[in-house]
Amino acid sequence: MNALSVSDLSVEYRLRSGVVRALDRVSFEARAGEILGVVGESGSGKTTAAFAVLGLLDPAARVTSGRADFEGRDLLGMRPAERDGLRGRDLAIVFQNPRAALNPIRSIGAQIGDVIARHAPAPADAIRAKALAALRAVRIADPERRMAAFPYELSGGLCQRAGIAIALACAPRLLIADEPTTGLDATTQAVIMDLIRDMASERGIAVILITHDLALAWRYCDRVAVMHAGQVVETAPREALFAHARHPYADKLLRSAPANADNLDALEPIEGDPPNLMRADLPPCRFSERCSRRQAICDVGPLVLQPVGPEHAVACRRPL
Amino acid sequence: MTPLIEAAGLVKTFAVRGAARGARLHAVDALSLAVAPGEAVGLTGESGCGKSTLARLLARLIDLDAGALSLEGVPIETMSIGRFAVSPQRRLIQMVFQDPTESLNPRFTAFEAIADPVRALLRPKSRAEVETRVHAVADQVGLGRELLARSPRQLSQGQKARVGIARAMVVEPKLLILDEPTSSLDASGQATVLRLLARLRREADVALLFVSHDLNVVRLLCDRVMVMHLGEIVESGPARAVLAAPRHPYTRALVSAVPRIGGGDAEGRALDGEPGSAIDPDPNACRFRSRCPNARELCAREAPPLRALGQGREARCHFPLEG
Repeated sequence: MNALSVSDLSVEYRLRSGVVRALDRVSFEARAGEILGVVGESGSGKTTAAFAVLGLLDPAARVTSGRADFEGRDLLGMRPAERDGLRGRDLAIVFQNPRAALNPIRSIGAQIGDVIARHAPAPADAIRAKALAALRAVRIADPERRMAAFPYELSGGLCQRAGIAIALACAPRLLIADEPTTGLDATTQAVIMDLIRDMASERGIAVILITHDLALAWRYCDRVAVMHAGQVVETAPREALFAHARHPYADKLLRSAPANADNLDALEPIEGDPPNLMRADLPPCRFSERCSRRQAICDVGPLVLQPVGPEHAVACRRPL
Repeated sequence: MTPLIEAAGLVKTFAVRGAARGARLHAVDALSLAVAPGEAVGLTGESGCGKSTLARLLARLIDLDAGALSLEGVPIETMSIGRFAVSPQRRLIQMVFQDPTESLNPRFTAFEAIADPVRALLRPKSRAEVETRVHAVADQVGLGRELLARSPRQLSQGQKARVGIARAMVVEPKLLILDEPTSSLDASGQATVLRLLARLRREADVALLFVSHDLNVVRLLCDRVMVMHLGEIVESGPARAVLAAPRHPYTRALVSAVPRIGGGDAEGRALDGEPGSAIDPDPNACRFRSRCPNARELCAREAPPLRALGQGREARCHFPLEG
């Protein structure tokens, strides 16, 4: 079942210097108990899409089209106060830099308690017990002592586990993890990601994993959506995408992954840069100017995701 | 052949606040290594294993407590770091830092950032000489000249990484020490930087000491790898051989934690427990034993030495894994 279904989501940033068309009719689905990977280069709109769904966009941003149905209700159409009530309870996020996301002058236990108190008010000792259980759930050793710890006293890995404890404290239905292991080493990354996957399957949480690490997406995701310059260019089950990417960008992205290469010569950086999203003359396919397969038909808009296999869709006029 | 840089018995400890009086963190503990001219060596290990401290010791950015360090056969540890900073040898070892956003002066243009070490270390005779050198190195690292007038915030992450490398390369070093140079880049940006480093090594004959916890990147770029754990080297040898068939259980744990595209799910078993502590470690025990699946009684009573295993490989383990 789809916990979250995003369709035709477009977002613009209105700046003094012009309008940035950050997202262009983005669609994807996240299912209960599954992990959806959202991958792409820096600046491809992965985080903007997540923030739009959660109502965390910058004030300069405007949602210009689309909907985000979460268990039957449109998150984009509801009043901000209503959405704020869901966020932290049914909708949760784990941020990229755990130390920056935590409050530096409150203890870990107090910060988990804040979230619980806001969404499920209870006597102080009941909240404390719940916070302790949340720390235990993310397998932090010695949780009683860590309750009193401040973020600067904890390693990056422990801070991220505390961030996950906060996100999971109120039993969310949807968890967005935005580059949750960037900057952590491989052993800590494995601990954090195993935890997120176990939580997803044990509690039936729908997880969206935002990452530029394709090997990480391979190991943990059920399905993957590939983004480029604010567009979803391909969405597929993990095996289908990695075995045979149909969009030229998705294919190039796979070839540029160090984890996929046997030697440096096999490693092919993607030529060119994504287009400037402030341009008034953005082509319908925003990858076309970097694409070796471009033909006249590519410049005829608009471009939509077309099915090419079971649960596999690609936004390309000339797929591989 | 004389090694380019050679370290013997390097020690660096730090006082620990909040711990018992006199407690010291042994960041680098009696560590020895050598890098040959033009060689690419990877230095890997978890956060907190001491690899960044070691890199800074070798670059003479911080003072060592004990040990010997020589550059092209000439001892350099006797010189204070202040003296070294203005010595003619300074330009031979250059460092590239982790996050180009934080290591570049936000008020310098790319040109000024690259020209700065030229002025400080090469005593240029004219403005034209500075400009010639900056332009040459910009071409070398593939940084378009039109980008040189920009400040860091007008550059992409990948372009900033190239400015950081250009800044180090402009004084024609023989050793580049790179501390996680690709960790802030996406896959395509990483590919660009890795290929650039391999080319610089070929064309400029510069040796690379590549500090990274990304084993995929080490495998692609380096001839040799050294694995560090709590201040010590626990395994070293040819990079591909070590990463394909580790002999130390710690290396095996690191390798299996790295996701590989196409790999099975069961390969990744995280290490249990938290890393041991580098604060006054027991000199008569293996530092990895608390997390080691193979630990036996001997490991708690005798610290294993780094032992040669043939084919250029070494491991610090009483019971090395089968090759």
